[in-house]
Amino acid sequence: MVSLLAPPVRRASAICETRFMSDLDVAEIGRQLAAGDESALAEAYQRWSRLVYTVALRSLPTAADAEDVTQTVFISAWRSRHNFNPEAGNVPAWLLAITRRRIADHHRKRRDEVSLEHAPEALTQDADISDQVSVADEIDELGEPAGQIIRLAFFDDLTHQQIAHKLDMPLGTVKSHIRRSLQRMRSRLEVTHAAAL
Amino acid sequence: MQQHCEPEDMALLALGEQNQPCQEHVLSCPQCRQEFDQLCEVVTLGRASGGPDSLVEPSPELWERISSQLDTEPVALHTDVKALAEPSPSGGENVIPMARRKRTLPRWTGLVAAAAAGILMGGAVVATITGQDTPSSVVASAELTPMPDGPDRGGQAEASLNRTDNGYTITVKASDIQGPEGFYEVWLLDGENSGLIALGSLAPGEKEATFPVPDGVDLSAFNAVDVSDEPLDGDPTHSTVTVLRGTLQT
Repeated sequence: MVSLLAPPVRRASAICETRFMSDLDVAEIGRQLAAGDESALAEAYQRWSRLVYTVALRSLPTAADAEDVTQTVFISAWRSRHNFNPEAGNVPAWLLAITRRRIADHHRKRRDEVSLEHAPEALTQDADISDQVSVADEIDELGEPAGQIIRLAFFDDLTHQQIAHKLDMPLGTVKSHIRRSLQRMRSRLEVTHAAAL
Repeated sequence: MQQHCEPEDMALLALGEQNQPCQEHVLSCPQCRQEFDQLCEVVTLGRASGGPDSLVEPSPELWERISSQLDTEPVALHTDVKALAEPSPSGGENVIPMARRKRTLPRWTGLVAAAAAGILMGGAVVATITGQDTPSSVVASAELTPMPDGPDRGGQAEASLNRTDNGYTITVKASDIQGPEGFYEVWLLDGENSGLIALGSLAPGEKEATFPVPDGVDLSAFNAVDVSDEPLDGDPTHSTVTVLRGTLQT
């Protein structure tokens, strides 16, 4: 008897494993969605509505516009789920591709209304925004301590020595987390770009 | 020409750290240059992104608007973390398995009970990253004490559940606690089901750490804070070596 409450058991807790969504989970959501399981859409919404909404919010003039686009994106995703090939891409990249199209629609409509000619500019900007938000989302997926290490490197501008000192970790561990995390973010961007084509 | 940079060194170079030999090599080697440019793009985008804390939740009503247009039965977003561990077979409610966290606002307003989960970030780090000081009020607290038969590392520790504008946080304060054999990990514990949610690790020597609580945790069940000594073995589960524990009380 080690504890007052039931002693924790060393086991692969389902909760612990859901801390960070594995690629397997992402693929499973894609398969379920393509198979027409509406709970997979709810799952995708829970997981990626922030991603979609943030991209929309940064690309469009008002929060109401961003919510409209987010709504359209998930409804489009549901209605075109048969076109989604879970073997060829993943759900967040696909949702972002839809998001960019809906945002482009929005800009086009607005340009028609006020006859502005900044659409090409807006498209480039939208691509950057979508990349930035994808990277931010991937940082959120890194798990710890990788996530914290990257935050310290990105946003606190600490060197790997300073991070190692702050977290009392070996230099090699910090370096290797940094390399792997940057690679993960790069892969995420590649998948996102492939889906946008 | 110098041989190719170590991948770690190139990553650090992309972050802006000084490394003259690696830098010179990258400038003269097209293959490394391409790799380096891609890493730089990631760093530039990441730094410009505002970080994960800058991502914004749509309003809680949005899902209902979407759900009502799907031509299917309304699908509930699950509200109970226990559902993650044990997806209910049916029972009328539509529980969705595999969710990482619930993203909408907590539904237990008025039923403030206890504890929660999150990712490790020291308070100072949170403030630096988010650039904002979120005012918070303590809604429950716990004195953390050693287990009767567990190791006693001395010192004093307490935990508090705080409500902030952005949801709940858990703060663990510890003073004069002896160092861990591996590292200290903070958990939320469901007393009834011995369910565990890992909050993150306590940085060595850190006296106070605050963990954001993901929405959707059933705070009436996960109401105990547990600090374990974890070996550096890469195993993400609890080591069973509890050094401190306490139940949150309002």
